[in-house]
Amino acid sequence: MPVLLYCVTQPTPAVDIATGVCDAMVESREMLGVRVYWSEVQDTESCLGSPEALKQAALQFHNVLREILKTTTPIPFRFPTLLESSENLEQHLASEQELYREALARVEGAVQYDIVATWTDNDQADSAAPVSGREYLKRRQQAAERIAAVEGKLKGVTAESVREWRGRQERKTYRWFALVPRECRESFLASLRGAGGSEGVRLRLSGPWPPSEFVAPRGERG
Amino acid sequence: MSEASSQSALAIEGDSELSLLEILDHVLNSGVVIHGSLVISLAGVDLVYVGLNVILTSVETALRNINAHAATGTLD
Repeated sequence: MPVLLYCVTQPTPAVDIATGVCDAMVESREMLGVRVYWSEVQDTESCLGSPEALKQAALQFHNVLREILKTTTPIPFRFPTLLESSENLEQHLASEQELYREALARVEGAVQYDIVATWTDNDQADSAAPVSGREYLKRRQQAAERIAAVEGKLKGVTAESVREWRGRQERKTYRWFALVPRECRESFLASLRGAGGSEGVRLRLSGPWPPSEFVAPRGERG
Repeated sequence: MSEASSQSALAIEGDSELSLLEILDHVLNSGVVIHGSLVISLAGVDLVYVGLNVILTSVETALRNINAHAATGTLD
């Protein structure tokens, strides 16, 4: 029977979760130095075979990760990751155990917050729209300066509560990821609330999320 | 507010809830991508034992449709 993978965690006691994707039982097992969570999905077509069903399953997947995140730090698999059977689990983990162990050690005891910057004036135009080369370079320089200014402020006010920052440019926005130790979450949020606004930019914070952006060592992504 | 969207969210300039799109974006666009065998049936098309990256591309296409519908509120 196909199994849908949720995440791996440190080999801590299993988190009890009533149901997962497609209302299936959430199972977990400690193997090869990690704990892996999954559900057996009997009928993938009815569960994932339409946009509406897929959306529902994605929300159930999110809820499972959220429950696990309350207790320990998961490294999630991209939804929907399906293996042909639970027998393939150990085989996969055996081939990737070093990657998972290293990643779990890197993010242990931390959660991820996302901050998305949206510029409110017209200068931050769609970077994909065709413009002259000179105009393109001018916009890029302006965008880089704005990003650097916001980033400097974010890092400054949260210096005591963030273990690591990463960021990436998106089409019309810039997104930062903060790896925050659990015990620093309140101070992190308080720092941001007290930071005040930045003229011309709207910053939206969401989280806590599983620290997916920090799975790869710095420089390999983002 | 649904249970799924009750996770804390904070707009640094102005509070607002974590949206369905943010949740879907995270679930679909983050996480470890593994290479392996996979069995899935999506939108009436059976895809058996294909490379995971291939199927994820198909799923992402489906989810773009979801996102487009969600943006217009037709799925909420």
